[in-house]
Amino acid sequence: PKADPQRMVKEYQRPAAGKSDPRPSDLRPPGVLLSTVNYLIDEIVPKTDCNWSVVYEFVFDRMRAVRQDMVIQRIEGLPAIDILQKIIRFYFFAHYKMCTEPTNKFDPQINDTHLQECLKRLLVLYSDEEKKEEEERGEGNEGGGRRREQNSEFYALFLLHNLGHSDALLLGLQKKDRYRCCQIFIQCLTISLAWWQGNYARVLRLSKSLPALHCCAIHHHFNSIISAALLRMSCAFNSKTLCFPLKDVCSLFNLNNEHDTREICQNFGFSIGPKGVLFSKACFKSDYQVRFLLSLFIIVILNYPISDSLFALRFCG
Amino acid sequence: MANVSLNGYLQNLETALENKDGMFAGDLLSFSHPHVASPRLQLESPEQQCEQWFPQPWDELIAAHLRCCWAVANHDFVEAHSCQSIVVGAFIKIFQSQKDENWALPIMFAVTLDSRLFAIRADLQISKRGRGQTGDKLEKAAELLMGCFRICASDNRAQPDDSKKWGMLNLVNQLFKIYFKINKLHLCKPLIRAIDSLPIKESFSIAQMVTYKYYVGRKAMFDSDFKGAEEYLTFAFEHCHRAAQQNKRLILIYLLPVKMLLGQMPKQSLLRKYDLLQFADVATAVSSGNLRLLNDAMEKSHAFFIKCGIYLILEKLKIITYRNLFKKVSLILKTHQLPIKDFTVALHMLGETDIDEDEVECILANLIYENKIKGYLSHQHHKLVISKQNAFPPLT
Repeated sequence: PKADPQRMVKEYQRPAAGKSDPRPSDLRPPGVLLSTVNYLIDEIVPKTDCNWSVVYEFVFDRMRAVRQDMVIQRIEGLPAIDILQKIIRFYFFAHYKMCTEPTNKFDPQINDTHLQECLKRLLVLYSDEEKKEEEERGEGNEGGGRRREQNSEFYALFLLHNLGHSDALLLGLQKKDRYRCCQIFIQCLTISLAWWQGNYARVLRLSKSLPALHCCAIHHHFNSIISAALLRMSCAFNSKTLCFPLKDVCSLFNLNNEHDTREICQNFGFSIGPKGVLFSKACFKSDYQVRFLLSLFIIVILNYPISDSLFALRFCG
Repeated sequence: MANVSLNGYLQNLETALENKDGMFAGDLLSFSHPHVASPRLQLESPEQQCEQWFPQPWDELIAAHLRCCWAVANHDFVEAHSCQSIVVGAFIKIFQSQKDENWALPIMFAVTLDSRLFAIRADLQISKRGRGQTGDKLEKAAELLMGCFRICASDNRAQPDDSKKWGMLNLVNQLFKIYFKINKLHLCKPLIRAIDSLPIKESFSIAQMVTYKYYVGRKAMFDSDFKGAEEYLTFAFEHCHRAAQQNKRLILIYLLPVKMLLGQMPKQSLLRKYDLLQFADVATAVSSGNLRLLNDAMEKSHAFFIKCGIYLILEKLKIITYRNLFKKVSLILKTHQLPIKDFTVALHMLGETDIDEDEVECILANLIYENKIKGYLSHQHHKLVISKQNAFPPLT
């Protein structure tokens, strides 16, 4: 079989001692990198004719090569922003999509490291642009509003990814004046502040109205939110006779059905009576790790085919 | 001294070093001493003269100092910082070779202080010119400080009086200043441990101790160890020199939120005395459970609180405010079985209109979990049942 040059994508190669620097002719300029990323996202990510973990592995590797080419050429400014934003979307989506896979197929830690690196780099590029914009203010720059909404979307993702984390929150608070009018930014700042105060009910309630990608971003916090919430509830609702209906637990935690809810509550050590969960301080097993579940409400928002809803640039407001 | 000749200066310095007079030598190498204003010392390449007067590596150190005077006179702090780095580097070599003596400590204090201050100004100049990572030079200054710190900390053989360990607290305080500025608080932990395990830790000067406790207190506060933070910051506040009003104010900026979290509200007179009226409404709001006032006060002084790095700590006061509000509700209702609905109504009246009953239950669950309310919740009866005695125990 012959390879099709239209479909070949450069593989990632680890820089190693003794290996010479890549030749300039092997590096892809920003325009080519962007169309590579577009190709991966439009043609490969939506594939359904093979196991998606194969897709993930392939795209993850090729995205890494794209980033490598960017770093070597020190691509900055808007071209770098466009590329990074798409890569970041992929990582968030993959994190959700792969969360139920075993660790030999998907290592959440590695995905997380790459995601965090890209986000931090993106925020640096944003602040360069913001500085430039401030210098140019008054010269009537068109399209600033569009950019602003796009930036606010990724600041929001950063806040959710680092939920309740003080550094991320401080950044969010510093940007609050600038992005005050962007609804998605304010919503995610509110969610993160709510978690800072331990207000799990508000976090979970506000999560339900997030756009798809932001749902993916907060989804991997759900387990720790649920276990923190159950710890508090085991104290506050501690009783031998009073119970908490399963359906209420289910809706509070945004779980898919009462079956899953029952399983989680039992695994945390609570017994389930005919009328609901019997919370008990003494029975609570703090060391139980909740297993990741795909969330129905996210699946509904994702609304396949994924490529349309996820990767089409989404603006708020 | 402000017009001293090169020979006169070098002569003075030689005498000071021969006599092992660390204080005087430290002055002669410090930028807070008037000699730096002398145009006759501001030399671009003083290496030759210095070689004639001093052995290696002292000549290197002193030549770099004079070149630094020249750079500072030209307002070129990037150059000044790189000269001062050479000064500190040469000092580290000299200091390491001095066994069982610590007379050079004042020199170390002088040159490391200037190295940090020039690094800050160099970073400023770089960021004004556009390109370059902010904080780069300051991180380099921290590395040099760490170099000195290692020498001091590993001086295990000398008698207590001759020990270089006396230099540790000064260096730690400088490192704290850097780590807080570049937001790398996790690097403070090994330093705190090193000081904690020193037998002489109670014998440093009060001024040094105040600075140390101030930073350790702030660190504890960010780690949510509020009891610890209160203890350290209180020490700093009580021992800070009464004339240092500005420093006392700085300490209060962190001590006040911690005290409030532990249920102690500041007096208006104190806030007025230290020009900290930004906290006045916050304190009133928290103690009266007035969430609307709290939100307004936070919004009004938003920029100030963020700049001081206490906004997020103050956000936690909301939890105390809920407790105080709920206590009021329970006093009005005069019963032990309190309908959740009534709390919700109270919150809605105070402007928290987007709160639903699940969220009120969640807030109450948190308060019960943290022992701020004694009682339990009944989800099905929509009630909070509080203990007949001491349902709202004091916060401290």
